[in-house]
Amino acid sequence: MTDKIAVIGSGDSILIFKAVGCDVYAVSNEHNTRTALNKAIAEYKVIMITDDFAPFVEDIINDTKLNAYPAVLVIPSGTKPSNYALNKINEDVEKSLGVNILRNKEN
Amino acid sequence: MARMNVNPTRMQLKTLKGRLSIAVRGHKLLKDKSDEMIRRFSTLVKQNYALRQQVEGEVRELLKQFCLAKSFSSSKQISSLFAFPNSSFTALYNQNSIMNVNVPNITVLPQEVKTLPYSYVDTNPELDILVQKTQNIVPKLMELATLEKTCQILASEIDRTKRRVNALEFVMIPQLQETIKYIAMKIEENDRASRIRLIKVKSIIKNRNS
Repeated sequence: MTDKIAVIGSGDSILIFKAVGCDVYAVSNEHNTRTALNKAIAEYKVIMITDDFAPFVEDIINDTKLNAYPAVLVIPSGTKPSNYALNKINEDVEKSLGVNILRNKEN
Repeated sequence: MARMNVNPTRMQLKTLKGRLSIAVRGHKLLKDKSDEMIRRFSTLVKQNYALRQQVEGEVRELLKQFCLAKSFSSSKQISSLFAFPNSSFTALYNQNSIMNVNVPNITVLPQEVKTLPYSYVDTNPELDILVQKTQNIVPKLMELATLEKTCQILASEIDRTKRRVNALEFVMIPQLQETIKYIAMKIEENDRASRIRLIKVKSIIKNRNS
């Protein structure tokens, strides 16, 4: 495993991360995303994936949840706003505590 | 609660009593572990939520600005600008233990020289600012990755521990208690039966002699 970070996202919109030394994998569909993420999981300790492609690989992300590494982080894509990652946090809270303690914060 | 299928002997009673005391102790320990993990999780998840909201806003803004900045140049040109990054990212990847659960601990080492990976010729000045912004955002992203992963691991561990606590509390302990009660009653009954038999035999012998 390398100490670098992998960033998976659409086209060249995430190219800016390459400037700071991250490895960028441009993907365009579900198949690409799955292949890129599977490869990244074997090689990197931290993987960032944009939230427009994260729903395609939710099962793979869930499989990595129990281990400390690799850490898969969902980041927003610059195109459209989505609350994918925040909803995932809410789901985790509801599942483990039985009640959403963050709901008051949202409103 | 169904009792266990065991022979009602003193040996078995002793074994089951031992198992019950271990189960009760384990239940208490797991319950304490679960309570402490919930306490830590609720603190961490609030931090995680706040940090995510902040970082998401920053990253979204950064990517939006980058999208605008790169529109001044062709896609090929932009790709060639970032083809050979001159700054590399260095971090220490360790593991911490929260209640015997391994969670990641990522420490970002400060970069000595923060330079741009391209020359200033033929580039948009917006890009320079954005690269610097990205350099500042990456440590925050690493912090978020650590926090989010910790929360995810704790959430699944809390779920697992809860299931164990419930299994001990509502299945194993009542089952053991009922089996112990059954064996104790059975032994007492056997004891009473043998006592009565002896009294009966004694009275028969007494009647025969008299």
